[in-house]
Amino acid sequence: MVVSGRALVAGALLAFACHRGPQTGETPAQPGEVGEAPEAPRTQPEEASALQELDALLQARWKTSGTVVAPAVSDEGFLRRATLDLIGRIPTPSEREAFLGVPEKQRRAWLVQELLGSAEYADYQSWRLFDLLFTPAVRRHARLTAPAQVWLREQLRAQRAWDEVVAELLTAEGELEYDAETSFMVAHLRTGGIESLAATVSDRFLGVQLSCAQCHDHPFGAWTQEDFWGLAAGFGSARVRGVASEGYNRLILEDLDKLRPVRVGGVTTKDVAIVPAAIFGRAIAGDDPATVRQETAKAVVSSELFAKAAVSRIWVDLIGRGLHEPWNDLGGPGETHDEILELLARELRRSGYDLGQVIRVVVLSQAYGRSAFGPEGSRREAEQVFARATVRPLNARQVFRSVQVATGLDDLPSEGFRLQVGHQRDHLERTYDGVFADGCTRMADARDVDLAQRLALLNDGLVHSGTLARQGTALAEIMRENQDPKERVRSLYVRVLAREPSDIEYERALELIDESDAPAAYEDLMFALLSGAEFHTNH
Amino acid sequence: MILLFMRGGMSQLDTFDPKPGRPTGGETTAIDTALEGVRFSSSLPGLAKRARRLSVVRSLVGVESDHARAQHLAHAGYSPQNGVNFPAFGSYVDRALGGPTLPGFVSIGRGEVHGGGFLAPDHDPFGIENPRLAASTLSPPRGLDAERRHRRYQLADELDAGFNARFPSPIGRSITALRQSAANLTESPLVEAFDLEKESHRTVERYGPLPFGRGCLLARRLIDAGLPFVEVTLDGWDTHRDNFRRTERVSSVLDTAMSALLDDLESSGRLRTTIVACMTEFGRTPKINDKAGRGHYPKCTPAVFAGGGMASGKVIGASDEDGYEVVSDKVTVPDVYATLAHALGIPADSESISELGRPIRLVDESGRVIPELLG
Repeated sequence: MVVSGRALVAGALLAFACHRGPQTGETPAQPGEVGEAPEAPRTQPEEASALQELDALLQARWKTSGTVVAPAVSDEGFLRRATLDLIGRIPTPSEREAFLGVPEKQRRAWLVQELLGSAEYADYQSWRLFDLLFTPAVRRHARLTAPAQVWLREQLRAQRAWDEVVAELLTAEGELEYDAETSFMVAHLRTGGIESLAATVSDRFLGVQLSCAQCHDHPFGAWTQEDFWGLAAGFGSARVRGVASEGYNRLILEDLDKLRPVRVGGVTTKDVAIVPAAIFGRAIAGDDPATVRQETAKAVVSSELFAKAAVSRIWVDLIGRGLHEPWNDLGGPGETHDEILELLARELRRSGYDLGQVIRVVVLSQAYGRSAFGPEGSRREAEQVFARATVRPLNARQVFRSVQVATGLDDLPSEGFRLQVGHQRDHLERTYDGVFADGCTRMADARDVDLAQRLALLNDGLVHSGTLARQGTALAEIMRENQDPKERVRSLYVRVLAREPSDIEYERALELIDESDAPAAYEDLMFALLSGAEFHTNH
Repeated sequence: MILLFMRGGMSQLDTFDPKPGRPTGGETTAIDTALEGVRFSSSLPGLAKRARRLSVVRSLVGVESDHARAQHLAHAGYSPQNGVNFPAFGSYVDRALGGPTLPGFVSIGRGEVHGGGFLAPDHDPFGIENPRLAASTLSPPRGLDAERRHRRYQLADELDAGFNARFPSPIGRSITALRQSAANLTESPLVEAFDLEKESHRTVERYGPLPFGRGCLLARRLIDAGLPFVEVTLDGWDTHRDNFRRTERVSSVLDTAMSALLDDLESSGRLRTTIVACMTEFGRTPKINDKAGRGHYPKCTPAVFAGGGMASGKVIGASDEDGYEVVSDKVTVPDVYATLAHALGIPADSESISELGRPIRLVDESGRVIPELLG
């Protein structure tokens, strides 16, 4: 739960329990015009200035592009969006109430603070980072990868700096079962060797796709196969030693005694020259493998690309369209919003590599604060300069957790049922896992939904039971606590879509309720809300 | 068409192109097949017996040695390229030959699936992880009669229309369209094709007890129902260690299932109109490493075909006596797809527009039809 004691004290206006949030569908703004910016959050002067600088860059860009800027997203819309993005689920009705009870000008900054500080933030973001570290193919080796997620969650809870986190992953040693930080290297070395490791480091931590694009220019010089294998050589002497012990294979990550010769292409034929450990053309000196690995790790996390890749990923994750497309091909063909990228990279470094700080700046920015409202014709153009919000699909975890919140499946008292939910969670998450794509291209319009997912949502027995007005579901509670049909409809919308129905929607719902018996009519409405595009997107 | 995809890199030297007695042959022994002078590994007795129905390509040369890149090439006929999301060949087949209700491209098996690329979501594959559970996902929840189900679908459509009008987006439209497809599929009597319970116990046993066997049986049912393209994946070929024992085990799964599949298609008369292709992302090294394993070796990639317009009882090309190089009739993956497209009656040179507006040929322009492979 997000609501904390502080909220109840600060929100003197909490008494406004029936405060109606602004309706969606405001009239569009004129070109270059934007809604009033929320009051700058009460933060350090340097933090506030990064946000102001970002907003200034955005406004300047909108002016020059001449595109119609979408109106500001409503507070309700912001609540749903930020809750989904930061903790991976829709807000509950009481969270919505608490939010709307905070004075208007402080609301959004307050919400971001609450979300960033919650345990659910660490949990959800640990899964996002887990997806970053391992492709789906590697993830299937659960024994090798599972420890990483647990370890990442601990680091997030401890608010550990991102450069330290990655450095630790790259210099880890020890036994998989006891030293969870070894998981990243062990999983890659065991499944794809140093090639897989180097490709992941360059793709995911440096934002450079060495594995696919061998032939486009890079701002810091042209990347070649030599560069890729030089990076691989930096880690080339790490190895995983298996030790059979009582019918079980212990896995130990350690460095060899001597540097292992690495050649372009990973071949071992002696007529191909050995590539020395190097990063960005600068050799990593040393004969001792452990030292070489440490120096390589240090070079990776202190490089300018590291900070840029981190903020590039955060931006595309939150906004839905990258500062470059794809987010991890910086220096590749296509437009890059260089000034924003550099500003955020600077902010990341200034904050001591605090990912949460960059997230805060982006979430409170004018870009994130746009509605998705506008005509289809100018949509792409507006999205490309962040003048309109991009409607995004929910990923697997968001869908499942949000279905739980909407239906109250999570809160069912029966232990057996809760266990079943747990089992089903894994199955359903595997069925519709929305992930970072493996490989070269991850465009903003890439689709994450498929027929199998939709069938699961349509027909799955567990989801279905959540739409019924019995067994202690959210719908049953709504039916019990309200007798007036209008109140019931309102509660249902607030529960599932985190907003109140429009007049037309009330009309349609009441029509439905007149036609057939309650609770069937309410169950049908619940189904329709739960199956709709509005529920399954972040907008 | 049924594509049996051997994921991980099937060793040609321990399956369809053995070299018994040579140092590179290793522990693998060979048996005669129904084709004179042609031998397979002794772990493929069923396919050896049925070799007259097969064309065995021993001269396919790939260019990728990384799993992800090579699997991309094997499914799309192109190496990965930045800026283009290449569709799987199956997506093109779905587009050309698919019907309105059932998904025209089904992919059976665990793990990543090569999707519709720039032809998504309309021609994305319909993924089935567990063949036994396919039917249950396709049946509606109990307790809802047809009238009520249709009322729900209609209400959901109405709500979506409102939302998509206010906040138009490709993803919003996809969700609506896909839910409608899911609903249509659920309500269609054709869904019975996905139900393995309809098959006798004996039939199920003939295909072998494992998911791959069931997947092949499900593929046969879907072909019977008129689906144009089904892919079934068999994992376990990436034998960097303990190559001989492991390859023998997974070969036997392939042998049992593919034999049963060919028999059933033959007896129903469908083999004539259904291509069965057994492909993999690359072959494996002739040199055996110190863990009794073989590495990745695109230079000699195995591929076997049957049915449809494909030749039967043929071997195309050859590798040298130790399996290091292809010595005759070298062919490439684009050549294979040019041939398959031709056999299916789909123009290989047709162009589609990618997401960034580039025209992309179905088959790379280097691809040439392999005349010996056609029947």
